[in-house]
Amino acid sequence: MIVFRDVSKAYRTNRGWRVILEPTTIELPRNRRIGILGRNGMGKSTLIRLIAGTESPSSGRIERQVSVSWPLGFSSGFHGELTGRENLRFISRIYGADIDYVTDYVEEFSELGDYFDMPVETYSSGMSARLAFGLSMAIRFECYLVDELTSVGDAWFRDKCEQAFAARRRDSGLIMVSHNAGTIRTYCDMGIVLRDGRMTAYDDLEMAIADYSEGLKL
Amino acid sequence: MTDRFFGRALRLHFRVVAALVLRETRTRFGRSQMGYLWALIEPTLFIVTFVAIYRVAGRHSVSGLPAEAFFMCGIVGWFLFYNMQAKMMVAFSANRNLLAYPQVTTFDILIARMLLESATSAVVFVILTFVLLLLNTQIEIGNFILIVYAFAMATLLGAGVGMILCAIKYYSDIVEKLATPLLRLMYFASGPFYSVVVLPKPLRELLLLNPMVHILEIARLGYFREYRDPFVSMIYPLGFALGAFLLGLMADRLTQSKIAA
Repeated sequence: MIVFRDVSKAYRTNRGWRVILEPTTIELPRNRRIGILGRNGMGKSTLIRLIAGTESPSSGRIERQVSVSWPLGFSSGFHGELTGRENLRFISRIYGADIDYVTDYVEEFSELGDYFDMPVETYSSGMSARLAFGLSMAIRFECYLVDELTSVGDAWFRDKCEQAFAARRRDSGLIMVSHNAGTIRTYCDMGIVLRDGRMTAYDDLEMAIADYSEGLKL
Repeated sequence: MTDRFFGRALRLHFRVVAALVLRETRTRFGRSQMGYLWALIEPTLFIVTFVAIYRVAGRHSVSGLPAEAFFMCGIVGWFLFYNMQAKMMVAFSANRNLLAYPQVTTFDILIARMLLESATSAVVFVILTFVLLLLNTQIEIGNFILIVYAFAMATLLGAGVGMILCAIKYYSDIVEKLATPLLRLMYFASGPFYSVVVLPKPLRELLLLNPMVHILEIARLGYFREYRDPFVSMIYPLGFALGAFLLGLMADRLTQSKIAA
């Protein structure tokens, strides 16, 4: 379970403050697959980074009673001068994961071949995404975060990612943000609509989608 | 309950700092074996240059001490301070992407850097001491604790100055242009190759305001059993270093929250 206690978030822009989230108290239940629907520019990515702990709220606090992943496929946490293998070792260490298991799993999964022992700065964006995706699968989290499901690599590799991710979803929770109701319907069983700095939770996903679609018409 | 919580938090910090040190070891010394050697070669070049100049001038000792050992002490100490501030000035921006992992804090990055820089200097110091002994230099270590004390203060002061510069840099780019000449001036005013004892009173009193003068003198007092310096203060540089460190931490907190807001 992840609990927001009076959490708010605002950014200072050139045109004054922009509120992403008004003070909100909400519980995101464990072992549900939660889809957060919001139009572009509503702060979906900021919200997922708040949940991940990558960004701090402007006020209030977020309690995480489960281990939460970084947004899936997130690759900007790699160090360019280090090789793929060294990056994995480092991240395994800070998460207290089994280094050998993670290395073997990702080496096999990411299909980077010789590049696995090359500095990450020499990777194409697709290669870093593969490394990052494999890593997210190798370290078991109780809750996975997804910021729009971005496709990685060719159709065959996408298939493989889909399979690995499906296996993880069976025993972990999921929080996904998207502007696309169809995507949310495929992966989630509960919905939250993010609109004008407010989060409205619906236990029934279809009601969330109905509310979201209503908002789109206005 | 709280004990367990603190135990777990402490273990997490320990794990993160250890992972950071291992990672920074890779990036600090570069990809080749030369990287490790460079940490040794750079101070050695300085020492050899000064010894050569002194030999040409027909001198073999500084303030009654063997010149090469005198320079070694001052230059390794100076480099510890200098590298520490240079690394801290960029450490947070270079590692910003690390903060994506919520268990990594800026404090972990700071501690990891301090450990790595001081350990590097300690290794260089020990190796160069063995080299000097092999060259038949007369060294009689007086007080080991004083050397450690001096090195710890150099690390603390370097970290503090680096963080302060880093925070000022956030407001103005001029720091990067001014810092280099100012630090060069400070290098000459820190006495890595001379002792303030021999200077005329007005100049000496001016230089004694510089905490690095005290720190390098304390290192020498520890390194050479016979060495005496009636002007050095044990407390002044510690107060200065702690003050700079705390100010640096506060300045960092302030600018970090600005960036986040």
